[in-house]
Amino acid sequence: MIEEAAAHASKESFFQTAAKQARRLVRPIKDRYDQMILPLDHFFGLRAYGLVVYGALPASLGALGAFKPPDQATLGSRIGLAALPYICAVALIPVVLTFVLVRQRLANWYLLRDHLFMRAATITLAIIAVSSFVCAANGLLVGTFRLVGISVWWASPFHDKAWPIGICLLLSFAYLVGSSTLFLTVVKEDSDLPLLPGKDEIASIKSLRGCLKGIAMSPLQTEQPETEGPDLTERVTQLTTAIEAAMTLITNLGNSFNRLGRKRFYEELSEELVDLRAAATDVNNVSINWSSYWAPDVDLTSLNEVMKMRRARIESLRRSSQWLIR
Amino acid sequence: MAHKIVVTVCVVALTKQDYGELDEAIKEKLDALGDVYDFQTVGKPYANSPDEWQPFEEGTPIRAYLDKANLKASLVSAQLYDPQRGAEVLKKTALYIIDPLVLTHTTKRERLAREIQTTIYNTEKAFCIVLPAELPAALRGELADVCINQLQSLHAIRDENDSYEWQVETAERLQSYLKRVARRLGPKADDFMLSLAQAVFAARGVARPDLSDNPQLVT
Repeated sequence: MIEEAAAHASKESFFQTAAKQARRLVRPIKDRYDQMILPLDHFFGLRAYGLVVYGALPASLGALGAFKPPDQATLGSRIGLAALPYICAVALIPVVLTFVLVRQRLANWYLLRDHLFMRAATITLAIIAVSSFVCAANGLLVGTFRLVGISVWWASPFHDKAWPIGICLLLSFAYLVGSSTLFLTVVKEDSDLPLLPGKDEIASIKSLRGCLKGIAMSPLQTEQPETEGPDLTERVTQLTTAIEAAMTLITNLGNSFNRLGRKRFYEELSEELVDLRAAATDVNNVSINWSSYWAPDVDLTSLNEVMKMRRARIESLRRSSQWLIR
Repeated sequence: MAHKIVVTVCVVALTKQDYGELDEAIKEKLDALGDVYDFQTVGKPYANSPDEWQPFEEGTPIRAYLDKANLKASLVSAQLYDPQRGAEVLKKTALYIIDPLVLTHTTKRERLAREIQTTIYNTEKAFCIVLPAELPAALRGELADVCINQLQSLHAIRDENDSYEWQVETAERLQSYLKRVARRLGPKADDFMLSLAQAVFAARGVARPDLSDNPQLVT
C-alpha cells in the first residue's frame, strides 16, 4: 500500500516535472508569439475576426437560399464605363456604413485608438472579400460563372475578367447591410456573442479608459508645482488613486482576457503606470524634480537612467491616452 | 519587505563631459591610469549623469547602492548646477555623496567648496566623500589633501556626527554608511507608545524588559 502510494507520488512528481519542463520550453516560443501577434492584432484587428464571419453570413445565407438574393438582372446587361462612378457612389454607401459601424465597435473593443482606422478598414475589406468569395462560389455552383485555368483566364478579354469580379463585389456590397439582423446586432452594439469580445471585457476596458482619462487629465502632468505642500500632495494622491484603480483593472484584464498578446500589452501598460506613480511620489518629495519628468525643455543627458526610463514611459503613456482628453 | 526610507540625495560627481575642464595636472594623472578613468566610456567610472557614477571596480552606480541600503532616494543631482533650481537643491538635499575629483574641476569646484560645504556645515546634512581604495596611493593622497584644503569646514566636523563619513574607500563601507544613514533617517520610536509598553511591563512585574532569556509563552 505504502509502496503504491510512494509510486503514485513519484509518478505525480514525474508528471509535474515534465509539465514544468514543457512550460519552460514553450515559454520563449509563447513570448515570441505574443511579441509578434500583438502588433498584428492592433494593425489588423485580429480580436474582431468574428465580425468577418458575421459580416459574410448574409452572403452565405443568400447563397443557401435562405432569402431572395439581390436582383441581378441589371448586372447582366452591359454597363458602360461611364456608369462606373455612379455605381461606385451607390455601392460605397453600404461599405462606408459598415466601415463606420465596425470602427465604432473596434473603438470599444480596444483600449487605445492607435491604428483604429487601419483595423476597421482591414475588417471591412475582409468582410467584403469573404462575401465576394461566397458570391463567387455560389455563382460557380449555379452555373453563372465557369471555372477556368489561370492561363485561359489571363488570355480572356478584359470584360470577361472584370465582369465576374464586379458582379461578386456588387453582390457582396448589397448583402452587407440590412440583410442580416444578426450582423446588424453585432455591429450596432456590444453583445455576448461567440467569436467576439465579451461584455465583461468591454466593460472593464471602458472603466480602464475612464481611469486613463483621469490620469491624462491630472494637473500634475501639465502644471509645474511651485513647491511641496498640501496642494501638491492632493494632486499626487488623486493621480495615485487613479493609477491604483487602473492597475486593479489591468490585473483583472491581464488575467482573464490575455489572448493575442494582450497580457504583454497590459504588462507594458502596467509598467508605464508604475513609473508614473514613482515619478509622482518623487515629485511629492522634491517638487523640483517635476521638470525631470514632464518639462519639455529638459536636458535629457543630465538625467540618470531611472529618470530617463520613467520619462520615456510617461511620454509613451501620454501619447497613447492623449486622444481621451481631446 | 522593509518600508523604504525616503531621502533626497545629491551626488556631487563628475560626468563624462567634464574631462575638458579638469586641471591639467590631474588630467595627466588620470590618463596614466589607462582604462580605469576613461571619460569616453560610460561607467569608467563616469556617465552622463552624476547618479550613474560607478566609483568602485564592481561597476555599480551610486543610485543602486542607495536602493540596496533601503533608501528610496529622490535624486536631485541633475538640477544642482541649474541657476534657477540650484538653491532649492541645496535646501532639499538631506544626503550628499561627494566625488573629490569635483574639486579639480575648474567651475564645479566652486559650488562644492562654497555653497555645498556651507550648507552641510550649517544645517548638519549627511555627507560622505568617496575615495576608492583602488586608486594609486599617490593620487589618493593628493586627492585627500585637496579635500582637507578645500573642504576645511567638513574636515573639522567629520567626527561629530555618524552621518558624516570623510573617506569611503570600498563598496562595503559605502553600503554600511548608507544603511547607517537609513537607520538615522528612518522612523523613530514613538515616545508615548514606548512609555505605555513600559507601564504594561511594569504592571506585570517586569522592570526592565529585555531579550536576555528565551521568550516564553505564559498564560
